[in-house]
Amino acid sequence: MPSDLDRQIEQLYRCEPISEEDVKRLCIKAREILIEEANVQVVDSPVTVSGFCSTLRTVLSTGMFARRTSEACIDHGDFVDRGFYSVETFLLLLALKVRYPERITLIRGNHESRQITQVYGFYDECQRKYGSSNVWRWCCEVFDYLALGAIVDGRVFCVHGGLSPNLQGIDQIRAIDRKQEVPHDGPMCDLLWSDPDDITGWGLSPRGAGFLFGADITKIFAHNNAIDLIARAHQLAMEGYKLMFDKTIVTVWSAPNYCYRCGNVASILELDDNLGQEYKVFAHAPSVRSSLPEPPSFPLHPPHFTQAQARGCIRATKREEREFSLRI
Amino acid sequence: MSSVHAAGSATETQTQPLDATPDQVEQPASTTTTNTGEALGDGVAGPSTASLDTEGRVNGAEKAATAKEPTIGPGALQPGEGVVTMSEVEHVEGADAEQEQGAVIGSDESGQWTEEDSHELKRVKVYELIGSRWVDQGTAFCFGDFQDNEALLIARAEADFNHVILSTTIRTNDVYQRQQDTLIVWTEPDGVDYALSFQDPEGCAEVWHFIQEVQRHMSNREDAGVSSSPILGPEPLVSTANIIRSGHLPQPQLGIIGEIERAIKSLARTNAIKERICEYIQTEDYIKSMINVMNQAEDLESLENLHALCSCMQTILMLNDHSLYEHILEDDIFLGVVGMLEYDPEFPTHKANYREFLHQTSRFHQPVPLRDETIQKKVHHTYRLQFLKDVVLARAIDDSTFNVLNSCIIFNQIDIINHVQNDPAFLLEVVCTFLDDNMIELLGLEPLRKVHPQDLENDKDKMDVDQAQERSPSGVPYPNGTTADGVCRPRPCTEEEVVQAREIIFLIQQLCVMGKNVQLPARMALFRALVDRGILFGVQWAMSQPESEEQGRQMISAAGEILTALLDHDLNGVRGHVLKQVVAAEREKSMGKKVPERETMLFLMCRVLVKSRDLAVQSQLGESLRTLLETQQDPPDVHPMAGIKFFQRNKDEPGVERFLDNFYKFCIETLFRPFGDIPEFRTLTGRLYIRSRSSYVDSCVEPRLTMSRERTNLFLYLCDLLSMFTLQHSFRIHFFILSSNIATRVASLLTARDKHLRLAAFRFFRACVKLNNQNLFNYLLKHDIFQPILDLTAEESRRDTLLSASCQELFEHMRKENMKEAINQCMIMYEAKVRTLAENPLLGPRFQNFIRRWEMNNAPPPEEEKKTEAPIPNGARRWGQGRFPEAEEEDYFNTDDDEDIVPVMSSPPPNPRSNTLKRKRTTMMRRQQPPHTSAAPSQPLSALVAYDDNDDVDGTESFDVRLPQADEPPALSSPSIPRKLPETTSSYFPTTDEPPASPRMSHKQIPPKPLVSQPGDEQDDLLEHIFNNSRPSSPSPSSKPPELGAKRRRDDDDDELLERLATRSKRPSISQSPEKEKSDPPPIAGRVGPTKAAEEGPKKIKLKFGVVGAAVAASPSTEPAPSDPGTKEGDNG
Repeated sequence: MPSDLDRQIEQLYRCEPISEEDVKRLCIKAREILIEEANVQVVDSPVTVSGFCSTLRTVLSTGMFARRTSEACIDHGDFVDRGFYSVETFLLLLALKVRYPERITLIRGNHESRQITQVYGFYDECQRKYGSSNVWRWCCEVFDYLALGAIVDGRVFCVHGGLSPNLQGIDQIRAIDRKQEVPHDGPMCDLLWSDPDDITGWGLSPRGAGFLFGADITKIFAHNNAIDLIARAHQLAMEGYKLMFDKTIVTVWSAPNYCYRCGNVASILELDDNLGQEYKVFAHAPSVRSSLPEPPSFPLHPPHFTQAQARGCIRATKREEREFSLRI
Repeated sequence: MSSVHAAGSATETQTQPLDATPDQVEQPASTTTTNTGEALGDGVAGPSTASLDTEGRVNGAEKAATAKEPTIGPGALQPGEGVVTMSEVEHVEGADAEQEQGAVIGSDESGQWTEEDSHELKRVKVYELIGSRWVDQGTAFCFGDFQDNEALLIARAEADFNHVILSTTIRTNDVYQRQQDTLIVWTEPDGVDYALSFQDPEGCAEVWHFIQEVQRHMSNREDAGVSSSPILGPEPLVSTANIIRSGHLPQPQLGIIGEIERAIKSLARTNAIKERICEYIQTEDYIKSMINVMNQAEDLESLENLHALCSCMQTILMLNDHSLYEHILEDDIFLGVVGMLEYDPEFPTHKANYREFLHQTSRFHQPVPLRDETIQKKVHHTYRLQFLKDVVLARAIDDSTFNVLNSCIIFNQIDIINHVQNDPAFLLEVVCTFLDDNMIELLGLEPLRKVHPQDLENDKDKMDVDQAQERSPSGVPYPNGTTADGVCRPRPCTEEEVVQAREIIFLIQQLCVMGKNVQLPARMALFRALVDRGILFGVQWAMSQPESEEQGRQMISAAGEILTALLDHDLNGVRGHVLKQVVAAEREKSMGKKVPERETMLFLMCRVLVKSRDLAVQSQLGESLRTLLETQQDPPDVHPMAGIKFFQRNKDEPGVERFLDNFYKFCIETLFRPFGDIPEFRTLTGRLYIRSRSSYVDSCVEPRLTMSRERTNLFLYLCDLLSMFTLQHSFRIHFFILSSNIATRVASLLTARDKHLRLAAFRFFRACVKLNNQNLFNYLLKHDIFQPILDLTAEESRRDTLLSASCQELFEHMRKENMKEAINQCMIMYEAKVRTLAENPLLGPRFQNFIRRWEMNNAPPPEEEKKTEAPIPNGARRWGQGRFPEAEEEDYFNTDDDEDIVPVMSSPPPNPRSNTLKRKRTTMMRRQQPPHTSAAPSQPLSALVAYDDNDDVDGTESFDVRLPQADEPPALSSPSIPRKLPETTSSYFPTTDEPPASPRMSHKQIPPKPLVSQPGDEQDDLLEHIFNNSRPSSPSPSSKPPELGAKRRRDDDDDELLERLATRSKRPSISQSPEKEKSDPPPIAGRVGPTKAAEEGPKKIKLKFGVVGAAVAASPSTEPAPSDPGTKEGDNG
């Protein structure tokens, strides 16, 4: 029932929750698709990489959604626990995944776990919006099936967190039994929790899970696996993205004004046919300088705020894109 | 252009003064004081002018206003204070003016907009109404400004700072209107309409703020000395300014509501005044008057007034005053309030139906009476608050209102929760609804239903005492004589009782939802109290409702929710409840009463899960059972869920044991009964192979087990549970698995149509293997389980999927942990399959490693380390589409370097040091050898040492079990024959000829296996056969030296004895890796002889093996024993 699915996508795109029954079906379908995916999903360029998709409107309107017909997307985990609409966000991504299975790749983030979602709000949100925890349960089930990473043209490795001392090669990720709650240690945990840091070798992570890894580790890994770049999310980058270690690793952050208060800008990474990297930076739509509204037609009833605002946003984002996108 | 920066917080780096001039640079001091509110002058200027930092601005505004607040008391204005204020204001403005002039001059010096973004917020388009058209006067930046004690609104062109598009004095009378969020519209005294259309709502807000502040000061100044007493009653002319001036709100009436609203808005900007307004609204029943106005307006159908009322009401609510909320929640007011809110001016053509809804749809049920008036009231209030929050104000609500509403709700909920726990009768009554008299007795509860609520109410205090006594810790049941007459009927039974029971269940569910909102200690206390008071009886009743009816489904779902909440918070309490049930049932039996068979909560859960056809119920119960039966807690939490554990009651180990006992005694059969419906996999596979052979589709397992979605889902959960039990319940579940036939049936699920079910089934076997329990493993082997597993692996091998990853993980796990027996058995029984998999492009490397591991185990070679390292690059090989071979090459060189040392050290006669070194390295590498037999580490050494001798006396020492090792060294040494590099490098690309290599390898690698583990003639035959095969194969590679080199190298890594024997003749012609050259010098001398001799070797050795095999069979060998039961039984017999 493609029409059904399209309707759901439309609905979710408007941030309206879909019915519990729909969620159930959607999750079952998504599971069917995800189980066929590799732990490290192979993706061909050109592709858009985004990380930390929390505020779906901004991300979708600027990048992913518009491009879905022409390019593939990789999404970097932590779909939930962010903002007021994480149920809708996740379900929308899921629906898009079901609708365009080859075009979108979803990668698991450390927040895609039962334990974390119970603490950071996704559970409560499901409970609040659906009155029971079923939706949460189904979503969690889907989390277990999400891929752990993706590799673009064999050259760009996408993962939510970072590297693991237990993994020398990307191929070793393939022998991880990923269908489980994110464990507290071990390679799977590290992939989702680690962070790059200005250290040498490995270090203990202040997060309590995963590790810190230095430039040497990153470069060795990149060299051994013949990759040019590791793209990850997991950390806030005020400028939307942050390249480290001679551009062997980049943190892509796609949630502008994170948690509605960080005031950061966000970015998505576009990889073209030759894996050229282009970072498209954008800000939170409403707080962006919007262009001027149309003149009021008569004193008491000037143009409706929301329309003007909406128009403004679109123009602004385009402008922002022009201004900020830079070629690397 | 005054103190643009004034309120800019010093910490905010982005906010730079608009006009960065020298004299302003010196002002940070005043900037900070602004924020602290000490320097009043700045305080006033701050908010009113171009401040950028919202926080700073607000602070400034509040501080400034607070300082003057006594002047605008709602009731009375003190003349004295007023005067003081006025002078203050004047002083302030004077000060400002000075500063400003400086600033203006400063900015004039620069004469242009600076690059800093500071003014950007107030980017604005200026429009003038000419005729009926708004004419664009240009784009500008707009600021409030003070000049000559006059407040001005100035818009300077964006393009040219000095071009002033608009400059107008701000007037006291209320001509300014703010529309939407970004428009300010007004009419000049000369009748010209202007509109400022801001780009940014914040900029608009600031300017708007400025206008209002100015107006307020001016009206203060005008009135301060004059009107010292409040004007009562409606004024002849009501304007915002007048209201503000008068200091209190006029009595609401048609037509002036808008003014009132504006007045409230501007007055409420300071906290103290806001409080007074709220107080005033409450004490004067202001809202009631508004309701009256609304009624009038509704009668007159005056939409305008209704809209005004609505936004006025919204404004009042947004004052965020706790007591005000309490006020409007009163019965006689609330409906009026939501009534006003029905007319949202933003949807002028719509009207909401809140009142209708509250009247007709929402009903207050009270299945169990709450006997406390205040609590009852709180329940109602909470409902109304939620209604306000989630429905009425949902659109308009802002963060602070949301928080206030929320906290109101939570405070109420805490009170309710406390009451429920402390009210002795309430929970008792709830529970007794679901108990028959016997049970009530058994549990030592007072049969409360016989007491009329009225009685309870009449002497509440007395009841309290009674209750306390009855629930005395002794808990001894009443002497059973008292109710002996009663026929024991399950409750609830009558229709009415059932209806009531349903409502009670919903009540509990809501209580649980409520409980989850409150803070942890209170929450834990609530759930614990619920469990202790036996609320689970209710849950049990609800869960046993028929699923066929809608109401039953609701009940089951509610029960599931309650149960989940209880399990989350008081797991051990729930377990304890089940045990209590068991005890009670036993006691009942022992008392010889004929009572209906009682099932425990646990049993019921199993039964319902198995029976249910509802996915939601299945998942709920599946999860609940999982929680309930999970005995091993996660490792110490990294995440802040730890709190719950902290408050949880202590784990009661013996209790858990008894609980599990009960489960395995009574429940597990029921739970896993559905597996009985699945055929054993053999009956499936039988057909399967026939079919796949006939169609000859690369042994693809055709999914044949097709089930309904509900069934699939059920098995999914059952498999998950089974896996969990297997990992956690040790002997109990082992016994169950061994004694039931469950494994073979689970194996059938490996062919299920739904992949996730296959995966779930697979995970069960993975759990079995992971335990490394020999009995379990033998059992699996006995039932041939690895066959479907390997089939599944093969089927999934074509694509890189989750399932294939899991399969690989299983075998990788076996290899890594070196589960010798398991690997051995697998290879013995399913060698062909494994070898086929090793040829698979995707899984190949991993299974080759697996095979290698097996070979290593069986033929421990002299240098273990070499093999342990080699697989690493191999394993990583597949991914490197580009440079990988190089990387691998490097790895290889690296490892070689390492190895150089070891062989050199180990090649001299036995040396304890080298031995330890080796051990260290092995463990360091990958812990591949941990379960190595004691012989393994030392053997290589002895073998090395003994090598030459052995070779010489080949035939004589052949009875030694260590024979294979003895033969190994020649193989190793042979590569040392010097050859030069070109070929060597070519040999580093093993991937290229992998497929041909592995089968060849396979032939040669078999012999060691029978040697160790399998006595008997058959092995000899097998060996012979293999050697026959290997011989023809050996010449062929010799024609292609480079390829052969590749193979050879890997073979060396494998320390593959027999292969070397077979191909030794070619060795001299082929170069080998440098490490060999270095490491081998000592043996070199003796090398040539043996290699030559080895051409005849195979035959001899085969004979040897025969003997050895016999010897092993004859000796009381320890190793083969466990492996026998599998398939070899028949052979031996």
